[in-house]
Amino acid sequence: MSLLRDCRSPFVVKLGSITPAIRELDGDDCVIYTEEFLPGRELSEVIQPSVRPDAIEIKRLLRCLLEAIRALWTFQNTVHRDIKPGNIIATDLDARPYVLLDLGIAYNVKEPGLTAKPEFIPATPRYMAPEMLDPNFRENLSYRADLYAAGVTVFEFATGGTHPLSRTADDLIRTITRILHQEPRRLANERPDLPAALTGLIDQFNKKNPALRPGNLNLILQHLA
Amino acid sequence: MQILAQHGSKAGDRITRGLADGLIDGVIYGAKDIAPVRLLEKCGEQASNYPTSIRMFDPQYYASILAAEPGVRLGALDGDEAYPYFGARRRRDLEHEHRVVEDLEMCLSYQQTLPITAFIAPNIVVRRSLDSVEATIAKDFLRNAAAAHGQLRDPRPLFATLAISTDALRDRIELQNFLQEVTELENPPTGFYLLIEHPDNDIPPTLEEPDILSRWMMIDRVLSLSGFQVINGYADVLTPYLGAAGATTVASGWFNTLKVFSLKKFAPSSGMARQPVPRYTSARLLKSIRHTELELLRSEFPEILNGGSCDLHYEEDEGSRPSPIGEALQNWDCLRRLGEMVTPGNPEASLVTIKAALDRAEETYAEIGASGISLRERSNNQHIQSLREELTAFRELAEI
Repeated sequence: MSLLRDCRSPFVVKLGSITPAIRELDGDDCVIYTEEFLPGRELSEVIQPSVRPDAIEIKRLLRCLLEAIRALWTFQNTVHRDIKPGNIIATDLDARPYVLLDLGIAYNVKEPGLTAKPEFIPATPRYMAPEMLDPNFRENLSYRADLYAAGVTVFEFATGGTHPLSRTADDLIRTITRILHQEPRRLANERPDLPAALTGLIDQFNKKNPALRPGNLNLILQHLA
Repeated sequence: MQILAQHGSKAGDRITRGLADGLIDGVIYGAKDIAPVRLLEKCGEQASNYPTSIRMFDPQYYASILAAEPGVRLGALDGDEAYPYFGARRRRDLEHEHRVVEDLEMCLSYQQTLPITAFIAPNIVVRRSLDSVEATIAKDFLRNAAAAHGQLRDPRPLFATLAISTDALRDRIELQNFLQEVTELENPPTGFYLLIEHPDNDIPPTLEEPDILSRWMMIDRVLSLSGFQVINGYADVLTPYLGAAGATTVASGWFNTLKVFSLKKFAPSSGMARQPVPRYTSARLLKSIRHTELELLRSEFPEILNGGSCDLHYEEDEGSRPSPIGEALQNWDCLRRLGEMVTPGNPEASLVTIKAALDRAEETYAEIGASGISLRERSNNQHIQSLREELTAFRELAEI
C-alpha cells in the first residue's frame, strides 16, 4: 500500500482516489483499495503477431520497465515479482507511455515473506526468473528477477508472440523445466532488423544466472536515453 | 586492450623503456617494492614524460593480514619511512566496519597526494571461501570504498581491489551469489582491480588448474556486463581470455612473482631465490619458452617468433639470450599482440578467434614434437587442452 501511495515513479501505478480501508469479506479481514484509472490498453492486447514495433518503441517500453524496477528497488528494496504483459498498461500519455500495475505480490526483500509456506512461490510461472524456482530463493532475491520478467515481456512485445520459454498451452512442469534448462532463442534471430546492442541487452536479461543480467540500472538507462 | 606494467622489485629501466617504446600504457606501482619518496619521484617523472600514461598505485593493503607474522617480507611497506596507511591487522580488527572505513580513508587520502590517474581502494584477499568472515570483510571494503573516495572530492576514478584466492573460487554457487551482491552495490566504484591469488607462487602464468581460469573469466564477464571497468592484475599470458570475457586492462611484470599473484611473496623466505632463466613469450604457442628452447627452435619453426623489433632482443649470436630489460619488453609486446585477438564487447567473436589460435598452437607443437625436440614442462603443450576445457567451462558459466 505504501508503494502505491508513496512511490514517485510515473511508471508505477498509483493509489486511486478511494481511501483504503479494512473490510470483512467471508469472515476474513481484507484491505480494500483502488488503483488510479489509466487510459489505454493492456500490453497483452497490444502484442499481436502482425504488430512489429520499431526499435524506438521497444526501447521506450524497456526504459519504462527499468525505471519502474529501479524505483521499486530503491524505494523499499522491493521486487515486483509479476511483471508480464497483462500487468502493464500501454497509455496514450507521453510522460507515462507504459505503466506497471498490480503490486499485489510485490515483495520487500528485507521483510518476512508473504506466505507461511516457503515452498509456495506466488508469481506467474511463464515469466518467473529461474532463481525464484529455488525454494530458498528469498536469500538472494533482488531486482534482477524483475529484469528477467521484463526481458521476457519485451521479447514478446518485439516479436509479437509468446516468448519461447513461456508458451501458453503447456503444463506447469514443462514450463518450469524450460525456464530452468532451455536456452532461449536470441532476439536477433527473430528481429534481425533491430540494433544488435538492443537485442543483445534484452537477451542478456534472460540469462538464467542472475549475476549475468546487467546490474547497473543507472548505466543502462543512460544508454537507453 | 591496455597493457600495464605490474611494478615490482629491480624495475631498473624496464618501465621507462616500455613506455618509451609504446609497449605499455601505464604502470601499477607496488607499495612493497618502492619507498614513498621514490614513488612520488618516479610517478612524477612518468606524469611529466608520459602525461597520458596510466599511473596507479597498488597499496598492497592485503599484506596487512600477514604483517604480524615473524619473518614476513614487507619491503617498503614496513619501517620508519613506511606508508602511513599500512600496519598489521588481524581479521578480528577488520570485523568492525568502522575500522574498514578508517583504513579506506587513510589509504585513499594518501593516494590523493600522488600524481596518479586513478585510485585503487585497498582490500584483503578472500582466501578460503566466498561465504566466510573474510568475504564479509572484503564486501565491507567494497561497500564503503566509493563513499571514502567521495569525501576526497577528487575527480580521478576509483578502482576497488577485489582479491580472491583460487581456493575461494571452487564453489560455483558461492561465486555466483558473491558476484550478484558485488554488482548490486548501492554506491559502486568506477571499476575493479581484480586479483586472483594463488597459494603457490611457483606456478606457470598459463594457469592450468581446472575451474580457475573459467571462473576468473566469469568474474570479468559479470563485472563488465554491469558496466564496470576491470583491470586484471598479474594477468600475463591470460590476457586474451580475460579480454574476451570483458577485461579492458591487464597488467604483468618481469618476474614470475609479477605474472602470478600470490601472498607468498610476503611470506617468510623459504630459502635462496633462484636466478630465473630468461624466457621468450610466443604468441603462436600462447605461452613462454626458455631462451635456450627458442635457440633450438627458431630456424626450423620461425612461426614461433612474434616478428617485430622486440625479437631483436633475442639475438642468435647471443644464444637467443636477452638482457633483463629486453625480456620484459618482449613479454609486453607479446601481450599486446595476444590482446589483439579480442573483439571488444563481443565475447563470441573473441572466443572464435582464440579457438583458431589454440588450433594453430596445437599444430605447431605437433610439428615440434615430430621433429624430435622435446620441451620442458613449462614450455610444452600442456596448456592447450586445459585452456580448451576452461573456455568450454566459461561458455557454460556465462551462458554463451
